[in-house]
Amino acid sequence: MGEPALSGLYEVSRVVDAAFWLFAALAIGGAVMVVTVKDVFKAAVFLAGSFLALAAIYFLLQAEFIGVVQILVYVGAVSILIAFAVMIIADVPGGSRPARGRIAAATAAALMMAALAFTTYNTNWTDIGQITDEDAIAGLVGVYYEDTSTSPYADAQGGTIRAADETTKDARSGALIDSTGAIGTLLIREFVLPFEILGLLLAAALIGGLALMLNPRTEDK
Amino acid sequence: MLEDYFRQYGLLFLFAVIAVTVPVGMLALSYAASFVRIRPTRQTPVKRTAYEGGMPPFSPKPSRFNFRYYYYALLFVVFDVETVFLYPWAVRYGLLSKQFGIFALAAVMLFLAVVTLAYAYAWRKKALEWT
Repeated sequence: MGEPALSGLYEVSRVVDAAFWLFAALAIGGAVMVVTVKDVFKAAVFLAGSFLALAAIYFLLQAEFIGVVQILVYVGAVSILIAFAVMIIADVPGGSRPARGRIAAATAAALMMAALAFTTYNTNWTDIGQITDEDAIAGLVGVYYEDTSTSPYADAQGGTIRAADETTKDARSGALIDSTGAIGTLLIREFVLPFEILGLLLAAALIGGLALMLNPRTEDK
Repeated sequence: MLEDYFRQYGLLFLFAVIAVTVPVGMLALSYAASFVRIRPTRQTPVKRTAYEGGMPPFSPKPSRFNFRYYYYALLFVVFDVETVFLYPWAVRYGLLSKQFGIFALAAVMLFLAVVTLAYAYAWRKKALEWT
């Protein structure tokens, strides 16, 4: 063992490695079960399990917000949508029919895989610690400008709003802490208009679904 | 700092392990009890029927549902996605309201109003009635 200060971190990284392999195996195993299991409903349950393992991997990558979204939207909502679809579509216990269009599906999957591999290979995995732009760091960690004379967001009293200095330090040392809060800040400070348009998009989804449902041609009894 | 991050999720992991162990352990214990004849397995037709809240089941196997119920799932998903955007805002609301004042609240209220309008429309069109 090396220095006592480092050994603690070393242990943590080993646990994190083990957890990564565990959750990766669960995610892939769940995905394999989804396509091999006969019962459509069981396949939906396995899909939810696979989503959950993926969320755990996001947490391991310190992408807390993405992890929470994965649980809220995929495990919570998309799985429910699929379960509803299974309930509505006929012949649940009979299982799914032998899949048609396998070649097309395999081609699409292979293309997707190639695109992901290409992106992974070509991305410059720069540490956030190497980002030197003050504005970018402030946006990412939600730290506000301390110099009121140059800040466009300085408050009316001329005072400064100080956030935890540790946050900046961590951002510089390579760890982005509190990604959720940073996204919240960006949502209000930089991306207010897209945020409002998102509301419109959600409203459109609701009204569009309603229009399909109330369509006399698709309505049964 | 990095260690603290994983330590807090270590606690969560421990919680998850306990949460899974308790029900699985109960089922395993019940199964183990059948070997030492504490839990007799005498099947009767009544025991084999599916439990539907105490009522006799009215269809023998999972049957089709009206596709209108899909809209409930859709409503739920939209609510869910709405929450996704409220959550990071709520985390930083204290700081944001200090910096932007009422604007931090108004921006989200406008977002909510637009989505709620769609809900009101669905309500008005009687899409939420169980018939």
